[in-house]
Amino acid sequence: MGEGPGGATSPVTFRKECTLRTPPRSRSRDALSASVLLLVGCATLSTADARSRDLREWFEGNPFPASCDALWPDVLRTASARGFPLSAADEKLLGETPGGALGELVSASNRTYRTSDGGLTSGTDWNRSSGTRLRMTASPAGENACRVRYDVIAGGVTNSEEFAMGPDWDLDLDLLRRRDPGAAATLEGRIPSSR
Amino acid sequence: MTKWIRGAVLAAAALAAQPALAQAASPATEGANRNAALQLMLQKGLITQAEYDAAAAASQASGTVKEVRETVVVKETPRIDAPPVTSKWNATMYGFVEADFIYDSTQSFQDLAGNGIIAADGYAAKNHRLQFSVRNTRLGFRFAAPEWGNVKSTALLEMDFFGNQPGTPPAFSEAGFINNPGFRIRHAWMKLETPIVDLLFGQSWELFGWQSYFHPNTVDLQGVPGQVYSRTIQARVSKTLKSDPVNVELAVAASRPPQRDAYVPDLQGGVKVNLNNLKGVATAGGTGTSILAASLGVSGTWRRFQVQSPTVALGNPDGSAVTTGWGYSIDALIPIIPARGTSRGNALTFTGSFVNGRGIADTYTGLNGGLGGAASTPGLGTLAPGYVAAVDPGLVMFGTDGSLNAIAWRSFIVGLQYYLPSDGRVWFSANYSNMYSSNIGDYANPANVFDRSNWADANVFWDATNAVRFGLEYAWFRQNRVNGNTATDNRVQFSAYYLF
Repeated sequence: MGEGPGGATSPVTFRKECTLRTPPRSRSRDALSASVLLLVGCATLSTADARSRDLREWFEGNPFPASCDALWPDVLRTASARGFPLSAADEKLLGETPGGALGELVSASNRTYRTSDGGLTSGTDWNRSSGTRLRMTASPAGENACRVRYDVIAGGVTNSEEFAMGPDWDLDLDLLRRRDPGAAATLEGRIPSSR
Repeated sequence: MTKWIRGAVLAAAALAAQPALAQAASPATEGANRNAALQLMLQKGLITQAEYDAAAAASQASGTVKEVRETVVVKETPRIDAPPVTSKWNATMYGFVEADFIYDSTQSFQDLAGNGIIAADGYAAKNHRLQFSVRNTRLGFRFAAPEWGNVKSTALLEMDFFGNQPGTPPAFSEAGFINNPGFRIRHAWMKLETPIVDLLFGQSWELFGWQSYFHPNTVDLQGVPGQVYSRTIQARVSKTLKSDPVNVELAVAASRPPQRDAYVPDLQGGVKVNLNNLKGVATAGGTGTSILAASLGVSGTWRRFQVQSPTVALGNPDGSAVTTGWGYSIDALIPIIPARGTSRGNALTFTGSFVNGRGIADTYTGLNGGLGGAASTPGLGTLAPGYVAAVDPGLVMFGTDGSLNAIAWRSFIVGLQYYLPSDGRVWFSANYSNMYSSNIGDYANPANVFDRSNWADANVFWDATNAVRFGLEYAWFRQNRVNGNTATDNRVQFSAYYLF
């Protein structure tokens, strides 16, 4: 605020000076900034889409060469290694010491169940860093072959709502690394890298 | 396991283990046979990769055929002992304990400020307030029943401690209000997920604004000024069209009428598009942190009001005046720096909502702009004896001509949240909201109601452990009365959370 009529600067003059000192608004610069942001956003999305698509096509076309029952412990270990806590029953299945009853009370996890097609399904508790949890499904894909899908559920530990976010094929890649590191490295060389 | 596979595996193993052959074969052939047997077992899923590696190493180290034979006999993978999925019942408890320590520069707000009126002058405008509260503590239960055919049924109960009390301070005891809060239902709903559509019945977030996906990250108790934040009883039908890259959710709902005597449900509908491969990190309020897909939502509401005419002069007191309300909301969650994998480190996310409508004040928290009852318009005349307008304050007002008018509100709220590298356990967020009503001044004393509201805040959060979180906020509230006066409140809030 200026000092008024008796002072050096009146409010009107001050506002005028302010206006004059402000660089003229550059619409072309704004448009350029918006375009760059849009391009970066589109490029990020496009790369992520391509990676997800390539992984999905690979894993749908190349089931794991094992029965779902044989594969299942590694399916669980892959989720656990990414910070998704397993149910007490699934921890026991892996030979680990399960948590206590209180932990089960507040855990959103499910134990392993047999699906109608002879496959297996299970759910993890919340990964408290990402606020997501997983539903794992192993489906038979012929004699000693199995497809695995890790579906991501978002929403967070304390939220009443849960949001389905589709499968995370990078977890299938993790599983392949665990089962066949050589094949995983070859596959990784063929697909766009993550961010 | 089919018989022929088992036979082939055992035959291969027997071949590798045959002493006579082993004696006759060269060491190179012997090793190759052992490896072939192990590879076949691995391929058929009889042993895991780790078991294969261990057996191969042991075989290589000892050079004896006996150990290979032992591997063949012992390492057949058992079938997973799992009950059928149709036996699944599941119940989970969740929630948090929250302790809030709140300083205000005026004596205007309770712990939950919402869109309450800020004292513009007088003692309350010039003096301060300090409040401690645990009323935002929350407890929830989820239930999941076994799938019945392709139908999945779930239910949810969620409560907090903002329940109704006999009154608010200073008319009611501060100690009673703060220390003995009332338990109340936030959510109570059941959901049926079928292959065709999903159905929800009960009290949940309103579809309007696609709540709570786009809620801002703030230490302040929600809803903050300019934020659509409301739950109500509803019957909702929704359908999510899923693909790997995109989910499109369509929904319609018949919600509780904002005025029961208008006997028409609040009709809401919307569409939301999620980009599944573009993920950001967002925290709704102070606790709900999650990696979420980029999303754009559009939703709308239509409602009806019917109120008994208030005065004889304006017509038959047994007659009624009718008007409609409507609103639309455009909401976005945009990951500017996307989340990587399951890590929230170095992620920057934008949330924003734009809302415009009439007769929608109830979708905000405690918003009436300072209006009294629907028939409190100055110059309306003498009310019929015993007259009470049967509609909540702030939604509609009678004009002096006897017309019923829905109060207009337009608002936007934008926010940014940035999670520090490397694990995102510390993050910052800032929000700004603006509200404007074009007609509130027509139905009230201009000194008593506000037609503009501005709110901004800055927050820092720290996840000290996986269960313990701290948050600190500075918030600035400003309201412009219709007569030109302004009222400002500055709030500093520290909150501690235990998340379970």
